[in-house]
Amino acid sequence: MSNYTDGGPEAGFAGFAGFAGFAGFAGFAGFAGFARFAGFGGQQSPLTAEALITNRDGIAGVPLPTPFPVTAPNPESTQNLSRLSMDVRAAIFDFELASRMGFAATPRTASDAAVAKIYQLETGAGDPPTTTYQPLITMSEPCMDKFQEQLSFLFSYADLRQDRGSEILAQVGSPVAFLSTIGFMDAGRTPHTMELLAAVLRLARFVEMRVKYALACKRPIVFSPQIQPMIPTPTHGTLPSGHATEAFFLARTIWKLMRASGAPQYAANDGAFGEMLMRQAARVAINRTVAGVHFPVDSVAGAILGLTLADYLSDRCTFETGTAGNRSSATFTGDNFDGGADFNWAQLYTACDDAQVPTQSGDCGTWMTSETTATAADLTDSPALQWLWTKAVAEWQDLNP
Amino acid sequence: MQLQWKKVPAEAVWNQNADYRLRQSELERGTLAQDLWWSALVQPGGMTLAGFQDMLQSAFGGDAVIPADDLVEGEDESNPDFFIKIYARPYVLNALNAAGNPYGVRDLSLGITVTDDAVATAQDPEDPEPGANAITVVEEGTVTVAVIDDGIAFANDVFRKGLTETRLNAMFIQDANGPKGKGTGRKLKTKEINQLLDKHTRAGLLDEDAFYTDAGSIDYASAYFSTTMFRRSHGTHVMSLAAGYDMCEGQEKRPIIAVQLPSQVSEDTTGSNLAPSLRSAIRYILRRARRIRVGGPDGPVAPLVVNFSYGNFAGPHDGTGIIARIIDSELVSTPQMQVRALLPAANSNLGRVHAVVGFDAVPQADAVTLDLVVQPDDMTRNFVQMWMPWSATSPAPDFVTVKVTSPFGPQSMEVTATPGSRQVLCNSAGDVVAELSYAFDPMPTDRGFIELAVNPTTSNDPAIHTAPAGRWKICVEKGMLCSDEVVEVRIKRDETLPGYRNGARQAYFDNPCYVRFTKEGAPLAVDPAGSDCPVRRAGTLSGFACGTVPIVVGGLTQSNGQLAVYSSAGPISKARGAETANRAGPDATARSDDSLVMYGVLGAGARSGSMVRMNGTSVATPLVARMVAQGLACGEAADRAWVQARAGADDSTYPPIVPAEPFVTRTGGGRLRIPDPFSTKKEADQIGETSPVG
Repeated sequence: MSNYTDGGPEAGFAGFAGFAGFAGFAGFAGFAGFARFAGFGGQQSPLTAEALITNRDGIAGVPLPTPFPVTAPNPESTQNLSRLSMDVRAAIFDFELASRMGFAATPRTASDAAVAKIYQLETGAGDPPTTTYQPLITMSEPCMDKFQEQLSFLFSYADLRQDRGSEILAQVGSPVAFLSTIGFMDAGRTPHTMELLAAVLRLARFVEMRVKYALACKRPIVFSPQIQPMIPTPTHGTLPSGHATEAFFLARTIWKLMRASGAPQYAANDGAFGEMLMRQAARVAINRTVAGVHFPVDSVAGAILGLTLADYLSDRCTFETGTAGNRSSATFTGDNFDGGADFNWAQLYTACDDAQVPTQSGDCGTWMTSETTATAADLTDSPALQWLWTKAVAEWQDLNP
Repeated sequence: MQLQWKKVPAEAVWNQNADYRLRQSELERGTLAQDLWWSALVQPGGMTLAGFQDMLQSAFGGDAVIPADDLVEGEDESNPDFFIKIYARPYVLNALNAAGNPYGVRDLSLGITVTDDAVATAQDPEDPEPGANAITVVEEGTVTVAVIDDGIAFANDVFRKGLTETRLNAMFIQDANGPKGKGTGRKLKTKEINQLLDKHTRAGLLDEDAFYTDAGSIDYASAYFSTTMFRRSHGTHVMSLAAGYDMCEGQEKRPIIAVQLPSQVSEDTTGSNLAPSLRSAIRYILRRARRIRVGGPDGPVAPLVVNFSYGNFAGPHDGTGIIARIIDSELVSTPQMQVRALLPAANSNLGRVHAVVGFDAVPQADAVTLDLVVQPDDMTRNFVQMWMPWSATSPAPDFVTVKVTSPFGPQSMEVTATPGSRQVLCNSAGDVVAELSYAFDPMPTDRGFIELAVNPTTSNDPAIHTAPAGRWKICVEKGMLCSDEVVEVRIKRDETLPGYRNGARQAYFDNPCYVRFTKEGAPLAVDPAGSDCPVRRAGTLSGFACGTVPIVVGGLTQSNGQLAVYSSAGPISKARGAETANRAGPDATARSDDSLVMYGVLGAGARSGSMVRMNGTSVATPLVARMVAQGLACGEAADRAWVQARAGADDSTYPPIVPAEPFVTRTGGGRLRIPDPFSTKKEADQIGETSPVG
């Protein structure tokens, strides 16, 4: 995973270095240590290689005559996953998630805003498989006037920098440490959950960067010399907010694991665990406005994207061919969002029933829609993702006495 | 910077500060200044309200209005403290402030700029309450606690008796954007607060940012600023100490009335713009408190304890300052209603913001020089007031002559204690960057003062002409000042409060004779015996706290019982013709730091469930307010004398104060022993907060 060397602000995910990084908080350091102990972590050192060469010369002796009996491998089986190193598995999960996505964009015209569309690719049996692109996210840019209007929020929120400075710096990377304060996560306790969340972060970046690139919305720093962000402004577009996408994607995924576990505390008090996870995600998103690198509307778009991706991921991880499946989608129409409105996640999602709000409108029209429909039963599923999901859910279940 | 002093005679005005601020506003804003509205309190000089109203209408038409909210039915119009609040244009205020003006006005205190919406809706009557809601019936033993402060996070769980049930009778956010428009204020009563709590509570959790945004306390969409947005806010902490209880207790006997002053007021620590907003706050509290009845709708009014944890450094310090007068005239107990008011002593003991100039020393000197350090990077103005003693003769004698030298020269010509005497310091372009002028504060103060006003030492606004930072020399030469008389010199408070960004930096005296530390290196909390240094710790008591009504509270470190080094000390000045001063110091001192290492006292953070530390006499005061409320609830007098007596009794439980003297000027009756309401149960049990006080 060392190909992710960007190290930019949405870098929690950058590199499985990332893993060590985000795990540093959670004590995942153990993993890195493990690799070092084995002596084969990453690239082998010349010293070790030299030693192994002379070592073989010393003890191998002449070739033995008889072939050893070796059983045939088990192709396309999830049994193999547990024998793979994490970075190899990560590539497999990434393929399973990313290969089922499509993209289209329509550029801005004199009358219409630029639109980015992410599709989910549903495949059926066959070789090649039958394919259908279904909408996942349709997101359009707010006009420049909306951003101008939103600028006043940047000035007000800047007052909070002295209060939030340390949080903002700690959240430049992944927010997993903050979510870990609500969901009990640790490399020793929930390794597969953390592996799943790493996949979440990679998928979030994969999608959000494509959408940001398509819409190319300008950052607050461009609108005024007095924003003076307290951290470097990332070079990618401002809407949707990557931090909002990732934080809400992570938060909702953890909440889905908690709900799926059946542990009683997660069902109690109208979903207070879910509520707290969402509050945490919102705090991360809002802190980016405090820092001076995002408009509130960016967080709105990012949260919608992240929440919807969480449904996509869990559907993809839980669907089994032959059963009824779910397909979720959402839209965000930037021009219909009221420029004077702040980000409020409760307009988008209710934690107690894990449901996105079907529609939200303001003075300018409907700016958000979401829906969940049933899919055909004969679509292909992803045993690899099922494997990961099942193991992750098990980490939240109560142990039998 | 080439500077030059010029003699520019001053116009005769009632209130020098109002005149100065209106002139600065015009200099900074140009013609735009004329379109502003200001709040002010005016003393109508014997006119009735109706007569004053007619005069305003005929002389100024729509350019001055009297806000209805501030009026009190049946007010004694002949009382010398009868002030009327108005919103007016600058030219109106200048006309009313001119000494001997033909409109009958005899004094004026300038407030803040107010919005057009606030003026347009000023005469709308307050929303009438349906009869059944007008009175709140409470049980015996109920005491209403009112808090006037900044950044009051009133939805904090310590102010609730249930998840969606507030303990507030009312919340008044004076500068919030409200239903009537921008800056018109929000008044929320119990029912409305509960509706908001209900609306923003999910899964047993209150979404507090959404609540405050809905309530008008926070508005990220506009430039409206409130410290409620922060993790730690003064008003929340103070109110939690005065009237915060665990939500699960379901406390019914301490209903709360809270008023959040405009941020524009809290930000300006000089206190110069406070009076009109404070008076409205007090009047709102009294109006609400009168509706809280014990036993039945016609029962007696529940006693009221008002905590106002604000302080300043300047003013006449003899009880005749406008704030002291407002408190003394509004917050008085009547047979119908017991009222107690509490104010902090202030934290300026070591601030080097006070000096006493007299000429009785041997060998006698004819001049005393004060070294005033005006800090660099100070974005706000600095003021030094030199208060003359009272004199029975009119005009008052020319007590002293003052000359000021700016950091690199030149020295001014003399300004004398005679009306109209003024020198202004101009830069090479002819812009004024400092003023030295004599002013006379009319009755009941009836004393003159010479004030040095220095412009900001830095500014991002080209309309503000900066003054040089550094060591200014103020030379006070003896005039007709008698040997037993002194000139009290006070630097106005000029701090940037936490969360605010006005860039204020406190000026201070730096005379070499002032000994700051003991020989062991600890801060020296008292003026050394025999010191002839004019810069003094004694006499630093808050200018707001010089009246006769308030219970004034200083601070102590609980673990060792020693007074907090910052806790300001008396005595104050004698008022006009008085034999002795109103008060010698605070009435008592109480916990303002838990220990030398655990600074401050735990109190509520701005969001539910969080506790933060804050220190200062601001936090000692509400602890005493809590004790006073408890005393009233138990039928005790719980007045100044009662607090002093309790303090005297508690004092013996502490080790002696070091040094033992002066005692009264620093701690009043003594050191109270008050538990921290949010400490562990063990400590609360030991001291027994719920047991009868007596």
